[in-house]
Amino acid sequence: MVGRAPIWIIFVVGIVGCLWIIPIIGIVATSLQTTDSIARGWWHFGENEFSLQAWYTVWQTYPLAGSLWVSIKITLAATALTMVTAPAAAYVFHYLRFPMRRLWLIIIINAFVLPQQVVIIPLFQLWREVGLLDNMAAVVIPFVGLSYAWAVFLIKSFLEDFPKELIEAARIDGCGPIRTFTQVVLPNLISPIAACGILQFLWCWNTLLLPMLFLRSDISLTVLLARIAGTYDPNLDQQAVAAIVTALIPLAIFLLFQKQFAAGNRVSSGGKE
Amino acid sequence: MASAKPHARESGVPFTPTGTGSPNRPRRGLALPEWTTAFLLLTPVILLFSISVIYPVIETVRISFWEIRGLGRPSFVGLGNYARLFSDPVFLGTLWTTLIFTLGVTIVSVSIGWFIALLCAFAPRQTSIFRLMIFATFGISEAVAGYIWIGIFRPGDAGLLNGILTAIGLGEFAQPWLGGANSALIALIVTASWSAVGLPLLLSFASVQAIPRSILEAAYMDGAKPLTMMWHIMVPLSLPGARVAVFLTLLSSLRAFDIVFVLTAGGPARATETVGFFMYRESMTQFNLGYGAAATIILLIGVLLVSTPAIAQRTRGAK
Amino acid sequence: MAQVELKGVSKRYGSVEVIRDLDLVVEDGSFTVLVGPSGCGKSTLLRMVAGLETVSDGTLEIAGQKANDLDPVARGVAMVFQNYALYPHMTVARNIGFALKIAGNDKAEVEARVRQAADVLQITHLLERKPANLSGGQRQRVAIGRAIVRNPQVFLFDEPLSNLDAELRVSMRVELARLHQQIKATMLYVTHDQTEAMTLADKIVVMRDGKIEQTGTPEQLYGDPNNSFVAGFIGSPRMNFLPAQAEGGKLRLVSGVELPCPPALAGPVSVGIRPEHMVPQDGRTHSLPVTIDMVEYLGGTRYLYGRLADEAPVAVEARERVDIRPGETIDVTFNDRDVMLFDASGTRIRSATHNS
Repeated sequence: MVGRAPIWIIFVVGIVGCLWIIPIIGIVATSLQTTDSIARGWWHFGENEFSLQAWYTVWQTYPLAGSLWVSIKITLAATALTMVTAPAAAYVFHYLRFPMRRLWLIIIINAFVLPQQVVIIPLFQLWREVGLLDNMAAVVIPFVGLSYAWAVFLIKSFLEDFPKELIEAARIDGCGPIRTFTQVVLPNLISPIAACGILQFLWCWNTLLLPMLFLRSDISLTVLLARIAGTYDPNLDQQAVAAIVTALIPLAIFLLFQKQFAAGNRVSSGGKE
Repeated sequence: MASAKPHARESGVPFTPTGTGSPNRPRRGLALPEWTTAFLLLTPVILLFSISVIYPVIETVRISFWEIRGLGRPSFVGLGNYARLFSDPVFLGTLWTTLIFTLGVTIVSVSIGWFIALLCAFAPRQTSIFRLMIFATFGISEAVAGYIWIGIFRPGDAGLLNGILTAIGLGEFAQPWLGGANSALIALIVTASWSAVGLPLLLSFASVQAIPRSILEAAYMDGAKPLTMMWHIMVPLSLPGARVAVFLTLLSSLRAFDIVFVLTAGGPARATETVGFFMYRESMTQFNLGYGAAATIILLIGVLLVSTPAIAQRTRGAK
Repeated sequence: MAQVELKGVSKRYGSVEVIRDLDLVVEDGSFTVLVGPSGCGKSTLLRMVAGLETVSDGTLEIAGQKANDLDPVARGVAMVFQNYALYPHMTVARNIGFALKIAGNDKAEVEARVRQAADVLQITHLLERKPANLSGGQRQRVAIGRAIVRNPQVFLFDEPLSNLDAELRVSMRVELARLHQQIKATMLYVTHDQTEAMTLADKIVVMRDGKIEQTGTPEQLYGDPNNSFVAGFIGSPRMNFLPAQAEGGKLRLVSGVELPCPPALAGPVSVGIRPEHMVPQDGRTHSLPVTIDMVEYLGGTRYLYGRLADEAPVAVEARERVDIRPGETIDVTFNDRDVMLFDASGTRIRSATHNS
């Protein structure tokens, strides 16, 4: 930036930043305190007693490990499928010519406005009929199908700035359309594909509605969290534990990859929305 | 882009006619016309997209004209479900709640995110850690955000908000926040804004950073102080990013479900039900599938109205 | 190697005709340069030969065989792009060897040929680097290496030097010329820079508006242009065109200067004289008063830019150390034999009097 940064600016941003993580500190503190202490208010650090009881109880009472595994399976499957198929679709739409190309493209990239609520009634009926309720696929299929709306758009906007000479050079070097994709385009799409993967991972892991409706016995972490809270005991400490476990992995992924995420997002947001 | 003609694959012309070195052998692999390749690569996408988007949209529209209760026989009611919706005081209430919630979340989260982005532009490195603290909520799901904030809005002394109010001598404002209709809606907006601020911050910051340095230097040479510079130079020039943020936040808060489900479950007494929640309650807990579908279509129409400019732009840009 | 021949070739985008009924023979082993202002169709022509654009009409032959519908790789052509188009994710060696790999050559063969090409271009030490870690000149060499490794029948160059700085451009020019000497392949080269065309070409093709204006050796185009467009395009600074009236065997310029001309000629004509043929004050046949606006000092020589009495701009090359300042009016002279005449439409009027 120009000139020297005024101190007050750093100060203001710092205050807002701290305000923003107080709730997170609160939930961690809550998970580590006794029920009596929580009733007094978790911030009375001086008087409150710490305990790992809630963590132990949740681990004993609820299928935390099982749900963690379900979440991992569902999220990885949906993320991998999107990361493999969306770039191919973006490439096909951007470089190849075929009947009804523009119609499909318009439908797919505009579907990003659709609320998830639109899919639940028909899919609920469909899964019930074909016996997919309580099956991982019942969640993974709409996760992937809905992701195309933004994933294809994001990668295709990246391709708009992709030098067309590289495609021409590949043609002169003797590549057909598939080889041009796998050998020339794909290796250069790593950053938007990574951005798509991170977004898809976060969304699949974090969303509640679809898994809550379509899964029964093997439930994901968000659904488990909703069940623990639903018991309506004064079990704030246990809710806190479940919330932390649910948030841990996406938060770690997010913090780890935030650079790639920002890079990919810049591409998609470069005034093109 | 590359020409539209299908790739002919004659092998007539030898690659190295002089015969020096070794001649290149003919190409391996399949020679496919362009549209076959396109079809191959696109099939899984079209298939999954059709199952999870196209079919559900058509089917939801169809169901909305039928009365379907649980496992009973469906009967065709035409626009009956819609007529019922607009005479249902609960549904009309959800429309109002959705409007207030959507506008509230968008205004609060975009103005905070944008303002912080503008401030951060003056000291990108020194503020990066604080930016990350705010941005981190992007990785936290709405459901978890709901549980996190339940602890803050708890009634009595155990809630942080009441605790703070008492500590600063405003004890008379302490209340069971999630117990009153208005305070619960405010709580919902605050929580959702806390959780939604990451995207506006990211988009506005990218937009502010894209302003050519020389323009800011020129303003600095002209004697502009930070706030003047922000208002006259950076706000107008970062408008594109902020506009996208407004749109995306509007879109996601219009369809809010998770956060409502967790924080208030629509209560007290259905006072904080959004349309997205109403539709779930009617179709998935009361099994009024047709009625729920009609509410979903109303939500879809609202979303489409908000998105018209974006849809127009994307459609024009779809080359 | 191979000859490239275009017979009646046209290129249309919808209703817009970019190239019109064009005939051209690029002789086997020649270094042919297509030159012209931007938008003249020279790049489109090159891309049609490459197989990147379809031919709307007419026949394209490479090595005596119709190539209109051949795939680029079947045409045996290699291309060097303006921005090099190196694959950013591949090392230099893989970039150069990519086409060979695609064609199904075995590894050892690819490696040997890549090394051979790298030796020719003296980039062996760069083979393991990625394009991002190369300088502009090095990238240019890799791009050329990618072309020569395939032993193509025809090399195509699309403004390959325009992204380089001035100094590198000169040295790469020399190298390209040497490369042509060495491998004696047919080369078709597109540029908008007439200096590049003059220094590299055996044959220059000047294009305008999708048509060929004139084809010939650099000397022919410079010394004997067919029209005022070619005369003005070739040579730097460009030729001076002075308006004149022809009447009864006399050409009347401004300031009362008169030149002889064919008696049949009448009406407005344009008198073309190159700056190096106009000399300040040394007593040649004719003299024109020129008001100097600017003096461009280039060391060995200097260019004087000024106006005639009727405001027509004039450039004059002054080799002697004369002390001329802007604002001065000087007399400029030239010889009859250095004058070319063009009619109102720009076509050259050739006559015994004015052609040596």
